[in-house]
Amino acid sequence: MNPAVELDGACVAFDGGRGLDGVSATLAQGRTVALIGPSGAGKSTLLRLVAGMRAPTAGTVLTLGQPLASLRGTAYRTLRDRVGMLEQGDTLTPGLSVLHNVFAGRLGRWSAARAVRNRVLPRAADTDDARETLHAVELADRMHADPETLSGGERRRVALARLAFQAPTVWLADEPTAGLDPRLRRETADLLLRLVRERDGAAIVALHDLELLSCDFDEVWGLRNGVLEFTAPAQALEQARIDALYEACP
Amino acid sequence: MTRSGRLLLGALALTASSLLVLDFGGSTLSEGGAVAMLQGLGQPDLSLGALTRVTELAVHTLAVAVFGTGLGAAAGLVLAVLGSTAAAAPRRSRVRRALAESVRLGLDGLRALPDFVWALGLLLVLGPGPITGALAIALSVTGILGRAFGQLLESVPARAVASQEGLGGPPVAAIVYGRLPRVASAAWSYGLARLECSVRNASVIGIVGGGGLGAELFEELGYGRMDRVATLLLGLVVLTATADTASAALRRRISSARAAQRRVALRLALGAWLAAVVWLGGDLLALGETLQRVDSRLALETLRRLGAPDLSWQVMRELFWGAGAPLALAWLATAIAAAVAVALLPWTSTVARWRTRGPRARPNVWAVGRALALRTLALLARAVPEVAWLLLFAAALGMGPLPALLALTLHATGVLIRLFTEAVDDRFAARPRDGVGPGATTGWLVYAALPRLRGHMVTHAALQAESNLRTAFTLGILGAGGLGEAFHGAISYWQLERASTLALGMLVLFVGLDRAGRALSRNAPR
Repeated sequence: MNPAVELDGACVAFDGGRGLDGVSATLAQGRTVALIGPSGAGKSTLLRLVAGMRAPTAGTVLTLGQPLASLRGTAYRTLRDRVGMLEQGDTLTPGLSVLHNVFAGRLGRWSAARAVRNRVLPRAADTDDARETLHAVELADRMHADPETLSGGERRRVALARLAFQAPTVWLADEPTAGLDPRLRRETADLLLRLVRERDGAAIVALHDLELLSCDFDEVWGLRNGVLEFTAPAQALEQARIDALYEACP
Repeated sequence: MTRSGRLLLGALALTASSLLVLDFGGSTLSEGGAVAMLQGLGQPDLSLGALTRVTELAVHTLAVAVFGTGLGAAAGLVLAVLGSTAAAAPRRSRVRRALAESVRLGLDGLRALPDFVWALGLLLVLGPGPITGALAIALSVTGILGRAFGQLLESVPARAVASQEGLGGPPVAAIVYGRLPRVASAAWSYGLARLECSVRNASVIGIVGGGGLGAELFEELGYGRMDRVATLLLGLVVLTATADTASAALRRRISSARAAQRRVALRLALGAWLAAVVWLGGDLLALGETLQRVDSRLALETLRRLGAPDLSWQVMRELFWGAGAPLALAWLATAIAAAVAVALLPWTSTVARWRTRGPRARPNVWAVGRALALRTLALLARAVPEVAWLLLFAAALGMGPLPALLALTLHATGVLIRLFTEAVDDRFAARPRDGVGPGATTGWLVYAALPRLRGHMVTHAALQAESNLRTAFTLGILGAGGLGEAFHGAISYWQLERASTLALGMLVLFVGLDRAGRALSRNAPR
């Protein structure tokens, strides 16, 4: 079985100078990683590489054994559907009900006709499926609500439900808890990890908040100035390495 | 020379050449005629019979407008979604870009010719009737709304819809779940604004055989029965003013509203469309028979001849000189209207007046009354369609470029007064601390308000100029000269190759100006 993610000397060069510099790491299927590092370390760039939204300027990036960013047509579409990405910030579509926001998770799999049909007259089977997913995030009763009427934590849970509805093999989340209060942050991160485990997925979660390292991650990857400083099992990570990662840059 | 100096010089040069192109010599005020007309207009026929007839015609006109706009909006939406797939696809694809560009070109073509011209074309095949008018409106609305919807869809930043479009699914699906819901309320607003225009256009499209208020107005003017003309004009004003007010109320609801309220509006709109279908039911059923009766050989022959434009030197020269008149009319009317609308702002904008009297000032009854009176006059000016104004002015002055210029200017002034005043009032009523300053109203406008709103107002004026160009072509068809008159002559004498060249010329002119304007506005300093 191919590893979920395989990075080999992956580089990204930006005009401004910040990017990624020779990142090599492997994530086996079914494993979860917390990706940490100071602001601007390249966490989002690394996630976008894995999601195939950007190609490496040097080195290779294999997602589920294939270079996603260089695939085309059906091959791209099929593989991209198995990679789920939760972008930073609020990504729900305003003016679309919770149900339809969750439906958007399957756009990679549905034909255009099925997607349009479900937007107008949802099929019972798809609705039941979505209800089940919303049940897992305890929002089944808000299925027809307007996202504008939900709280920040609830909106984040709808976004997680959309990701779960997609049921990808590789889950990527870019600071999924930003903007929430501490208790909600913890709950949301736990929920994310539970959803990933229940669906046998692998996950890379970029974290800003180090408190969340105590959640049930398998590994921790430390990124600083575009360089992967360490990959370590979460249980065996020493505080000193974290401190070194966040030390002021020379 | 400074930038504003260059602009002013350019404007003066354009104005001078416009005046040279247009020949105002033909028009003379016949005093007797004008007096008789005004007397007749002052005594509308308010008998029960006349009022019933006007009401019936107004409802008929409304049905044509609603049916045509609904049809056009639906077609425009589908085309806009297809045209935006290039923007929404995760990868650049040559096929999608080609599709998007051809959809855009097709929409430009539909948009370039006024519905009046589409009606003349459809008349050749379908004969006169309300369906001809409705379909002509639908064609033009498809072009206008298709383009507007497309621009809205493409204006959504890719970041905002990355979670729908990054999935690699079909772009159409990504648009329906990502971009479309985000622009829905703006699209509704555009659609309703277009309905207002359609109501006005439907009321005059009757002149070329679409029935309704326009046909009757044309007829009564021909007979010189000014009392009936006055009644019909009154009906026209009431109809368009009602449509404007109703759609403005609906638009406010939609733009401020949540999904539930939008659903109510959607149901209202669908209900109105179905009511229009029922009202036009008989004519729609007759359409099938009409189509069966169409001589397919003749229709094919017509299409073949329209598809083979006459490119002879003579027709090209006619095209070149004919294009001058609508261009000159559109420029002059827009420039005068914009100048008048800006000059009247100190009296039409209640916010401007109140804003400069300090934070505790109360609105002055006299100033508010004056503003309301001016706005009502503006409402009257824009409620009567340009074509109706043209017929009225022509009755007093004789047909020619002068009544056309007066008609265009009057209507455009009414439109721009409303848009400019709303721009100032909307921008500054809600933000009490923005741009407050002492001094006279005019000074505040010139130094605080107008600089902030310049881009906005230029856009409004440019859109009005575009509409004026289309309308100038239409007025030409009715005898005001230029390309439109030549086109009408060609169609009437069944010189289809020549008609095709002239329509194509209009299309090229329109698309060329549109692209040039876009390029200019991209390069202009903000």
